[in-house]
Amino acid sequence: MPVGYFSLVLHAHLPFVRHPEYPEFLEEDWLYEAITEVYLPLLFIFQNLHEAGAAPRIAINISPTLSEMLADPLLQERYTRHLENLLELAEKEVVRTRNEAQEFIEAAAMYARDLRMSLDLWNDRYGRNLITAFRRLQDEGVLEIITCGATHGFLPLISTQESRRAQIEVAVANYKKHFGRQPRGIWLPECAYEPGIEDLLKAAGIEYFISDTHAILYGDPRPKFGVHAPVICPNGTAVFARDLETSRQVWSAEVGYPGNDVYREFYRDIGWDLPHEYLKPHLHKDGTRRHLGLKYHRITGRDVPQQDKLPYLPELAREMAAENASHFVAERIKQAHALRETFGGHPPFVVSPYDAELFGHWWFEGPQFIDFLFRKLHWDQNEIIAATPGDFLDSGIPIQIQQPTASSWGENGYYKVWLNEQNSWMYPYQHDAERRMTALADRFASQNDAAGESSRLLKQMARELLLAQSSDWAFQIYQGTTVEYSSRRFRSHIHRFDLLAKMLESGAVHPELLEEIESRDNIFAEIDPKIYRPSA
Amino acid sequence: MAEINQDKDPNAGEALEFIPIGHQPVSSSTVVAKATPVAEPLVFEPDHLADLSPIDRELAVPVLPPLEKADRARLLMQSPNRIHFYWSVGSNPFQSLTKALGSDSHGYQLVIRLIDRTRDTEQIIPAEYEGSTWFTVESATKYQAELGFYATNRPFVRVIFSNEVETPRKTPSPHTAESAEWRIPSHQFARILDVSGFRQDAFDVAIAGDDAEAASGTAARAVADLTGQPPERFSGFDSEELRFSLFSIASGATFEDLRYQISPSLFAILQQNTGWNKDAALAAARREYGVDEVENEIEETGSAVFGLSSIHFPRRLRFRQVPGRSISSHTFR
Repeated sequence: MPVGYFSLVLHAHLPFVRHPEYPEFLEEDWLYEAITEVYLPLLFIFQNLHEAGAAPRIAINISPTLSEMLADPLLQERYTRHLENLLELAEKEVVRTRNEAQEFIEAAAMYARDLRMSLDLWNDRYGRNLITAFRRLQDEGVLEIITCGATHGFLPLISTQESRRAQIEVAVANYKKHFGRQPRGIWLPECAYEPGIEDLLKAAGIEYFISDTHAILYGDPRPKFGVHAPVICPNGTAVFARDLETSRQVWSAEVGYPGNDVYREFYRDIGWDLPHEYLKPHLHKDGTRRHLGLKYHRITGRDVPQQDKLPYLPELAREMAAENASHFVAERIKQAHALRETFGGHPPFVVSPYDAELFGHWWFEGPQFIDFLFRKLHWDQNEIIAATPGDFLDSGIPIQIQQPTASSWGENGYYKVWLNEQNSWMYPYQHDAERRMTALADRFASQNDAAGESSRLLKQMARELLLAQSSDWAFQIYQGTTVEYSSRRFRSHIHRFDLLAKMLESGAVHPELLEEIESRDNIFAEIDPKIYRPSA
Repeated sequence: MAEINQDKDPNAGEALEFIPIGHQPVSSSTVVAKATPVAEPLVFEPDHLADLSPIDRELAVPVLPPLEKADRARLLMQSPNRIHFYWSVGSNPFQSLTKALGSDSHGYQLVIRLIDRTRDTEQIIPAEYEGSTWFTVESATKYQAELGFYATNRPFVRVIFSNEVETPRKTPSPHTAESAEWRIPSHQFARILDVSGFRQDAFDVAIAGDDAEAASGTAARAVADLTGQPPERFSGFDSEELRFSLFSIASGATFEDLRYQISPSLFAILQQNTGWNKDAALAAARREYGVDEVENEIEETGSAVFGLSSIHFPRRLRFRQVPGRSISSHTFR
């Protein structure tokens, strides 16, 4: 029997950003950067670990919005163009750095090599569809893919039971479409929980959800094993909560691994450093400078100004990633022994949830860290076993019954990030749309015209409402990042919802407008608006 | 006089409800929150609307539709000590009031009544027809808001009421499992909290011990000694908050430091007793808990993480005994 278990849970999510009405769109780069820096490297590493026999067991949420984008032909085609353009620049950079800036030649060569490999993987191995690749890894027993809210809606701030249910049921239907089975677990958007949500999960066939630490630590009654064992809600849904120690080690800006001096500096990018004329062929048509993803400096030191950063040395960073992984494993062993002693011999189950985009995008060496971590877990020790929440449930180990408490994983642990003075104006509009959706679904969804206009209108209204509910908009408005875009997206979906609802209510359908909205917000082709009919 | 109707749907019609108030409204806050209107979001105009097709133009300027004139009353929980309320009424409620009461409607004013369903108390603040506001509230408490007419010594006339929200507990549960398999003594649970990174809670659970009633009495007595008030005055408060206040002051924190960390009603009482100081609090801590010295250390971890996420790390007020004794309920009794 091992001393303890370690469960890495990754949350891969991006809001649905797709703008066919423009030939290029800045915010679509979020997806393209994540594919290059996060999803392709992670898939490559998971596959290699699997082939090497390292038997990684990892839970990963591929959110429904991300799944839909990854499977979208327009975005696949645009990403191919994006990657080819970046590779072209990287290859130009190998020549330039060799002639003009030799201190950066190693970094430039690394980008050219990695991007060439990414293009091969993208086109040849994965056929431009990463969903199929993730699905295969699940089918082969490597990954346990879980779902999320349909559009990452912040469930406790959704006003109607029908709309909350739709976030769950639409997600499950979408998961089945992409992954060909029922999801076992769910990453609650922002880990936001309030008592009662588990009933919606159970009704959708979901066995467990991921929560923040205090959901269980402050739950009732006191959890005998703290967060180092799951609990079961009185309705039978299991809860796995975040371990704080592993969170700090990786995520803390003060002591976390990603802050190491030799790791790549995120904020210094050639998109801002090199002459505009040189970069112009690789920028969007409007010529605006932006992050291009080629970054040649290392962090160097917390307080070192950007202009004084030293060149990035890939091998040095790789060694540090290996060292950090060794340290992480050693700390897990120490933690497991200490917890086991505290628990009187019961093996702890340590759950470490992170945003997947931390690994590769924000922390460039993150995928290497995961690679080393699972190799060391498999070959260098036998006290810790990597397992998924589903593995734990299958083990038959008894689980304590407890009612978790309301919580989220955001700042201060509750709902402040998504409800505050900057974004509270959104909720009356969202809540009105939620009530109206149910009223109109009740009135029109029973009509037997699945292909007719009223059905199309209802389906598109459901898509617009779901998109308006994305927690990403309120989050970014509060954080002060892309405020204009986020505010505009929220207004767009409410506006479109209203246009469609008026068509449905009046019977005066504008077919071209309906078609245009359908073509822009084409998420969830399978959606069934009956889900919004009033609860019994 | 109209009949009392307790079951009115907030979205249904304009019937008024007359609700007798047997006592003067009380407010847990000395500062009356001011209702603020719903913020108007900015609208951004694209540069070249004229070049677009009518459909593209329609979609290019996403204007929020005006909120329909309707009854709305929604309470939203932000945190254990803060809730948000927005409201609107579909038609002029004063006309309905005048119609129902005639000249007796004089003296009534439109207010929000926030009802604490757990303690059966309420706050009343003046209101407009529509708006939004924030309330500082108690944790682990059920609330409901009403918009209606208030006049001194007359029935409250309810126009609309909100959903009910329950603020969560912000500390560990005082209950251990009933089943022997999952039961855990306090000193053991304190260790669990400690290894989970919740050291402040670990300390409190340890000193509270397994006898919740005795712990509550001790905390009330300790705080009562300092304030010169009878212990019964504090019997309704969460004993964790009483201990937290005592140890915070004993460790050198100021009253202002406590403002948003304890319930507003406890803060209001403690604030009135300016005789509290570090030495007096430490003497009480020593007398009631056998604590020699307490230090605090606030770790400013907050939400500082890599990337765009805003992940919660508990802000910890770490208590230490000097000389170092381990955290255990046995240590303190």
